[in-house]
Amino acid sequence: MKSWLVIGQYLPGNSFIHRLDPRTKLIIIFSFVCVLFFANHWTGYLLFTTFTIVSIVLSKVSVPFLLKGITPVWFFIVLTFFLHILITKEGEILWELGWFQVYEAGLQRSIEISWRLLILVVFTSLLTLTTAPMEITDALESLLGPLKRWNLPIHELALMMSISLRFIPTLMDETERISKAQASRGVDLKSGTLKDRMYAFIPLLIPLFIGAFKRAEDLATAMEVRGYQGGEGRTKLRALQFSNLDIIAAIGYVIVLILFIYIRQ
Amino acid sequence: MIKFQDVSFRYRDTDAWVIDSLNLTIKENQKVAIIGKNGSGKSTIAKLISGLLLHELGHIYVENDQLTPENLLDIRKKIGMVFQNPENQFVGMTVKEDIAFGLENRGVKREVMLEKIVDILEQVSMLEYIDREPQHLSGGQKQRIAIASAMVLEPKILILDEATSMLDPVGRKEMMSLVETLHNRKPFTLLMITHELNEAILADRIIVIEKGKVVLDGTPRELFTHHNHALDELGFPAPYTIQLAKGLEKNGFSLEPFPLDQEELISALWKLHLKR
Repeated sequence: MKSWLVIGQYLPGNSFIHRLDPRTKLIIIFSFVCVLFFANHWTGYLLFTTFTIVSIVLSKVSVPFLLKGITPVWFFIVLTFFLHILITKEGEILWELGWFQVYEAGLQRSIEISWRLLILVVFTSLLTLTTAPMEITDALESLLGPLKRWNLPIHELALMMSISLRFIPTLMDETERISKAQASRGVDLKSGTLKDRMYAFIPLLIPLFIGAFKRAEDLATAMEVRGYQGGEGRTKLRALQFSNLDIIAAIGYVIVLILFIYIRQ
Repeated sequence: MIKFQDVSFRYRDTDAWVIDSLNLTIKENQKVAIIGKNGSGKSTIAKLISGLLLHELGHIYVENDQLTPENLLDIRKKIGMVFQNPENQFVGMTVKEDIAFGLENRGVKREVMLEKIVDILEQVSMLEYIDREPQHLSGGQKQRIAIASAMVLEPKILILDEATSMLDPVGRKEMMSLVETLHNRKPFTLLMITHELNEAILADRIIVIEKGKVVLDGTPRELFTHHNHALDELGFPAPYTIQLAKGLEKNGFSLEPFPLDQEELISALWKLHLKR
């Protein structure tokens, strides 16, 4: 399979982080990302950096691979860095070039902000690297389950997500087939100006959409015949189960939080 | 048991009847092939039985219950269906999850589900593929899983709606022999909608549909011995074996009993040979 066909970046494995319940991972990451923005001193950053490094080690994901995975985000991290240097004009001037001045507070602020961003990105990609997309869907369905009481279609959303995931490889295959078929009829997808290439995509997209609608109809029929009537009264084969590992992870995370509150005071 | 009583159906906003006052009774555990050209209405029959389309006139009975919009869901529980495109009826991310889908819908407990999945996969000899994703299965394998997904719900009626038409000849043959094996093990009413006469021969009874009406109805033997011309005119030339036997008959070599497949032909030829 081509590399661009790999959706998400899930790396199957059996590490501590891999074996955690996806709900635990989602809760920890979500709350960690929030807490991250309360850091106001270098000790706080040190604590969070350590926590991140420990998590990476426990996940057994190789660091170069992790960094490669976040290449698209580097641009934003660098951009944030320079933006803050430009905007903040406090403290002593450290360096000057014409109208461009670097202030002490500016440098400090931009390092803090971009470091925060880096931790955030590394942490979230750790989630997608160690958790299959399907597990994330299940965890979301389970965690958002209480919202069903207010008639929010949580089950339906989760089902939509899982069917989309199921059909991504199918539609990818179809895209390739159609693009070959169109290429054999002289459609050129690879050269020309951006505008030309965008126009060349139309004969690819239309059959793809028509095909997808046909598939959707067939699938709906197949689901109906097998007795699908919505989420009510349905059992599930894939069951999420908290284990001792989740308790350990939760305790570890709570310790980090307590330390952080202590440092802030 | 399936019974059609003067059933008519047409698509909304059209005048032409797709199914035109059709009368039909299919006995329990019978293997029936419904053949017809494209647009003859043969697939519509399958959709009417399962209530995916609702008939306009007449009555349909499934297992002695009349099909109405109210009891449609209960009737559907008695029916398993396998469709044409192997890809588009695969709901789960893996083989296991796909088979579980129907069980989940019926609220079967998780432990029972796992047992049933293993059991049915054994029956269709696909147990080693239990954790495979659909994109790593061939078309024939996907159709086997589709059969397993239908049969795991223990339906009284299995409908194959052109289920082999997208498979290669080997896949086709394997699928038909699988259905045969399952039927022998535990009988169910089998309805094959097809335009392949070769497959129809495996049935106990062949029904030929044209313009929403039954034009021929009988056992394969009856149809091939007495209605050969009619079949030919309807666009279903007899399979090679039967043409050969007919040709031999014309030239004074009558075969007894009239052979329907290659094996029967060979044994009839041997019999003829030994007689001389």
